[in-house]
Amino acid sequence: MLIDNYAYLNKLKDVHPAEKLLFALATMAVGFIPNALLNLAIVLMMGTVLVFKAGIPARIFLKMLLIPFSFIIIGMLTMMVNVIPAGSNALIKLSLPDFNVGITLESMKMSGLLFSRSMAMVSCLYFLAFTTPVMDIVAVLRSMKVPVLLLELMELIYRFLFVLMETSEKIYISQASRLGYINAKTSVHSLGRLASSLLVKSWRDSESLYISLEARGYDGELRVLTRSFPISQRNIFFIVLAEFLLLILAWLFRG
Amino acid sequence: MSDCILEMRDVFFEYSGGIRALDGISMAIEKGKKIAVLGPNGSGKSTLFLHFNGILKPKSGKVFYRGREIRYFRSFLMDLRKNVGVVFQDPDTQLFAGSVFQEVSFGPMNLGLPAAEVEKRVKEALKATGIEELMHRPTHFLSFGQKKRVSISDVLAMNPEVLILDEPAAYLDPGHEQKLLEILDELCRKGKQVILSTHDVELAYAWADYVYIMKAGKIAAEGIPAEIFQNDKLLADTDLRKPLLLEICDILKQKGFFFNKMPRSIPEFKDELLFRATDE
Ligand SMILES: Nc1ncnc2c1ncn2[C@@H]1O[C@H](COP(=O)(O)OP(=O)(O)OP(=O)(O)O)[C@@H](O)[C@H]1O
Ligand SMILES: [Mg+2]
Repeated sequence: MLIDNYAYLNKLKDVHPAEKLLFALATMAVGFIPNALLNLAIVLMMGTVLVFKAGIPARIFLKMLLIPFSFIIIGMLTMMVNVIPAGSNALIKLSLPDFNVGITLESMKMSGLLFSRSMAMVSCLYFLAFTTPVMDIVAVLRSMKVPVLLLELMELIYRFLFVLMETSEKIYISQASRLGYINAKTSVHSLGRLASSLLVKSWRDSESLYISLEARGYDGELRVLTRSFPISQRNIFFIVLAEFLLLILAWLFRG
Repeated sequence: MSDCILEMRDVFFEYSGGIRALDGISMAIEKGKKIAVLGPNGSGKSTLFLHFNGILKPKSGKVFYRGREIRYFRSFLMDLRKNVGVVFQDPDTQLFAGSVFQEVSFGPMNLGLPAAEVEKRVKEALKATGIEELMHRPTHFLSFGQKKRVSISDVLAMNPEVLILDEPAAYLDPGHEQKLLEILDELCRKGKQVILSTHDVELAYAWADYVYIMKAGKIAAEGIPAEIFQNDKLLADTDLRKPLLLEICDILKQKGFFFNKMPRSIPEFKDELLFRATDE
């Protein structure tokens, strides 16, 4: 939940969330143009904005990029290596009794594109995750008339994710400090107890939450006042400009 | 009886499984008095409080708010809860929203106030508990004492007629405890009714106008603090302790010291000593 911490403390936290959402989504849309160079530019752009504008340490951003990296590599490899029809010109070919397996220029290009596009999309999502608290995104979605039920679910799930994490951490610490994880046998036992008490506790917590909501006049809808952000014309201008430059880049290096 | 803000007549309550939490409670809380409820763990304080705004319904017996019997249908309860606000003992079960600001705005929004008014109240409530700078922080980032303060703001922002606080001072640092008591005093001066539970005898002795002592689901005793805390047998029976200041005054009295008025706080104590010094 490292990202979540940055979302609340980064230097872009007071920027209107709709602007950040626009920036991320528009860049993602542009990123669908099949062009590896464009995708690379997107990763660089998002990285630059995150590091220099939002003040996220470059090390952290790179570390986070590495997480999807391994998944993407696997996907890329399976795409690169194909069954190839006899007689086509492959770069590398392995002849098996019934068919040939190998890498063609085409599959190489395809997988390269997949890789760069995935990284571009991931960095757009990271931009959003690093700079915009979930609650702000929910607020934007609310103003876009997304069904209230969905939004409240998002809010509550988000909140309870942390409650659950905190509770399980507390139980774990209390078990560990009483040697609950001293060997394999006690570990299994303790983990089982942790899971079951987590269930019971969550159940009770949700009950008492409901009670306390009722005490404050809950009538089926979680109405809260969301914080208002100023809209910056300057930011919107820069967003449009950035997308425009990306499009030009894609056009220049089309092919 | 007309000057009673809250009243209970012969209230019994059992949790599922037959645990009897309230065992025949009758009490009449006079308007304008600062009330403290004390009693050992599991004596039923939290359960009692949940009856005052109709969250729990007595198995038998009646609860009255301003002389009107509490009825357990929706519109009545909604109306009651606008007037009687409860701060729960465990803030973790009260906080639900992402940010502190949103959390505190929930109550006033339910009152149907305009957004500008809600914002004003939220800011005032956060200022009162000294957590303005946490306004846009998510609630899961806070320390326990900070959460406790958010939960108090939650209810302050609703500006209810009666404010019921379940162990508000637990987990607060001494500075913020003092500040909280000042806020509560201020509310009392404005004509609000404040009821709190505590295990802190010093706090109850210094702050309350009237105390109830609970034990095993019953009211073991009630009265003004000066009398209640002199009752050594009662204190021993209910796992309480005599306030230190009272203890000291008693010793001084035995030594022949005379108090005009029993002091309830250190400043009052000092005044008494000075008074004596200038007297002689
Ligand atoms: N949700 C519940 N289900 C069943 N029994 C409960 C529940 N809550 C409380 N009790 C029981 O009811 C009795 C009164 O509990 P209550 O929480 O009112 O005590 P309390 O005076 O507030 O204690 P403390 O000082 O520890 O806060 C206790 O015996 C307790 O075990
Ligand atoms: Mg309690």
